Amino acid sequence: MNTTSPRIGTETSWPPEEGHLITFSSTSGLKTGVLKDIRWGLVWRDFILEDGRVIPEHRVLGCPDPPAWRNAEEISQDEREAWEERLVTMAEGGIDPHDREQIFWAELNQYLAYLYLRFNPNRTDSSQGAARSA
Amino acid sequence: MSSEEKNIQKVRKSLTDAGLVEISLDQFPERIKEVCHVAMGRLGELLEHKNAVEERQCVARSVGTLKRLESRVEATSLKNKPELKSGED
Repeated sequence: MNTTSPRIGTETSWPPEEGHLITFSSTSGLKTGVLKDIRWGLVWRDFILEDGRVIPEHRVLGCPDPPAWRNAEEISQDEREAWEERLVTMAEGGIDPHDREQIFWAELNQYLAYLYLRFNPNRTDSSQGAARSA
Repeated sequence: MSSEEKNIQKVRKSLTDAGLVEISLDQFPERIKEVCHVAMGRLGELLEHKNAVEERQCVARSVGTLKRLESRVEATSLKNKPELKSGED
């Protein structure tokens, strides 16, 4: 791990930049990792670490509350279908049942959240999420 | 707080209540079933509307994807719990 990376958590700027050391919550307590990339998912942003772990933005220390989320209605058919194909390909390629921060579980979590928002019977325009602001 | 932030909070609460913001590994099979149930309900609604063909296809495709994922995730769960596998049937 690059221990000289700038540490995130006390800064006012968000999101952190590539190469920064971020701290995030996990079932086994606080962990750290070096940020490689930030990608929008179907609902929220995922922080991709240099070692391949995928952390949802809302688990990262210093994340604004509420974080920026997408409106389910803004997801195009092409984007949804590409997401579905990627998930099925990953599932058929083998799933690590021990690694919660593996990309498959991160993308499956977002897919389930997205479908629930898109199809649940109690949805209203105001409960569909908000346009991303970042 | 802006109306946009209020909307996000509302959506987040809805997803949290449904257990879909932070899914633990052992909860995935159950959560897939629940979301599949929601999608099937939506499909049932749409079947009553003749002009919703595109949306119907969208939901049907998602249900198909969920079923495929469900079987893979369940197989993974069973492999990960050999004591349950041998105790079933």
